[in-house]
Amino acid sequence: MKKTIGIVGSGIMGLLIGYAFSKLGHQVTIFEKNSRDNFKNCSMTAAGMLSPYSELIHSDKKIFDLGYDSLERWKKIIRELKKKVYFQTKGSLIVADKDHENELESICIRTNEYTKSKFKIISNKKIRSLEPDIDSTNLIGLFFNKEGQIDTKQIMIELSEFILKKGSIINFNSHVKQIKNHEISLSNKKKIKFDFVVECCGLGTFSNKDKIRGVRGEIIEVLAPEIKISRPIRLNHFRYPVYITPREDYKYLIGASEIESEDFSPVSIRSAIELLNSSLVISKKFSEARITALSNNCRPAFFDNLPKIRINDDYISANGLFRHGYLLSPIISDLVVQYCLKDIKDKDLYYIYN
Amino acid sequence: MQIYDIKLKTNIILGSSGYPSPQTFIDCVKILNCEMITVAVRRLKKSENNNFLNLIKKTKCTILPNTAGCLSIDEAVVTAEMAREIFQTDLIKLEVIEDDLTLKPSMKNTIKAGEKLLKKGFKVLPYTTDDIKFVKTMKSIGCKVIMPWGSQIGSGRGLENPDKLLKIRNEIEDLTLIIDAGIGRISHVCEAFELGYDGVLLNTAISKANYPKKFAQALKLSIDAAKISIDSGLIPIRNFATASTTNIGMPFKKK
Repeated sequence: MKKTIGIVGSGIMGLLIGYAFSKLGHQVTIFEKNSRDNFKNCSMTAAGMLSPYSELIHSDKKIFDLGYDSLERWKKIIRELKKKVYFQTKGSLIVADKDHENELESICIRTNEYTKSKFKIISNKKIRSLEPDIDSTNLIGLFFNKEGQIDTKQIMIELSEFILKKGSIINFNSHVKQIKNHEISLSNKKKIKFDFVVECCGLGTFSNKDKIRGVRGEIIEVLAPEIKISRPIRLNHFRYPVYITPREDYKYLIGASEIESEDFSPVSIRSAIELLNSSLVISKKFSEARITALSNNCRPAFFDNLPKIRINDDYISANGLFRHGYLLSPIISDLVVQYCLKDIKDKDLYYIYN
Repeated sequence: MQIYDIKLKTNIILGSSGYPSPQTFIDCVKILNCEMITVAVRRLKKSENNNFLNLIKKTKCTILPNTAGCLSIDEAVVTAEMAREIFQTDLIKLEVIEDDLTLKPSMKNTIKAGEKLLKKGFKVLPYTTDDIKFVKTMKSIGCKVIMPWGSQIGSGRGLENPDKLLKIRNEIEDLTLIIDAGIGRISHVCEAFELGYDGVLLNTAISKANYPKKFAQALKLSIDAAKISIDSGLIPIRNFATASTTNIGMPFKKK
């Protein structure tokens, strides 16, 4: 039977849930408070790395458990969309200075323990055979061959198009005031009743406002036609964990700071220097790159930095994906759909419910 | 351990950054019965909605704001004033570093910033090296708590110069002395107490352990162990062997 689904928030979480329901033939209505041209959610700021292994540098093992098959889930989505989206599965590198080999060793041991793998530190020669444009001879690294990345802007656009084509609706500039018993009240006093309402509006969440926090992130986009790097590279400097992610047409994203503050002010000089400086460690050629954008945003996170699906009488909330929006949204979306349509919760993932 | 007018039952101050999640940090605070935590102020902005701060406030721990990352006297003073406003406290962990690479405290600037802050009514806990001149100057300007390093911040190298630290302790008996920075192993914590230090301040050793809560448990045991062993009356260190059993008149000895 065709269900009506209201979704509040059109970040990657909202769009993927919308996609999953409309694919199954249900009627989806998405409410987005921003205008179509002024999209400021953090899914647009994100780098879109699909890196369950490398994320273990600073994350709970549960992030790996939730995200390890993320690549397969994304592959399926992109196959079904039948659209050209910049999506790569060539693996990713963590590099560190030879002097910090023990830091890398400790990451390697931890990753192997958490993921039951047998990764080994690889030599500078091997790194440069994978990525010839890395010019430092001092770097050694780890190669996680099962990681990937996705162009966040492209996928957001393609998911929106798909949803619209299926006859679903995305309402921009619509401010949801309240959700009561799966009925949405808008600021223009209009009320719309759905079979299910899913709230995924990050820091703008409707409940648990005191349990969610914003973690500031800053990211820089550069244009570097002289450099060809094909995989995401993380520089494991013990003080500045920085990554560089390639995009199409010689664009690269250099990110990202992680500051415990709900601070939306523009990128600071300190962060910019730290990020840009690190890019030179990967390749001196970055010094001639052109800075095309400096962006910042705040990631919505719960105190344990794990995503949550909260179910109450009024609505379902899928929120708190922190720095793992693209890594975890496919599984969270599937779990939300599974709960709505089949009333099933995944027992192994008890920690993400309520 | 006496921190100005506050008495702490647990002789430990915990740094709050770099944990896998704020929840893990809070769990460690509870495991350790920690009563004082230090928070970096420089990057915090006074925002209406800072749930991270609210969470920290909920622990009921005394908050010791710090000026981590400040390179100049002015920067440290402004940061301290911001901290007073945000946390409503006169306590400040004063950290003025020489450069970004070694994070070594600058003697000249720490002293000057310390003087300014004490004049403004702050209760200053300066982060110093193990240079006795540095420590003594901080005492002479009026600091009641001084925190010499064990070794460089985050290095995990432990107490690199125990002799220097012991000399500081022996010469400054009346102030609270805390080892700040360099702790990487449980043994370093014990050593600090054995040298007669009142407490330790640590962050990275816990926050970057694969299992921070496990490390916190071990830390709790080690503090208890160190304290009990010191209470037991440690033997003096001797330059000669002393047999534990006297061998005079052993009736069954063959040779």
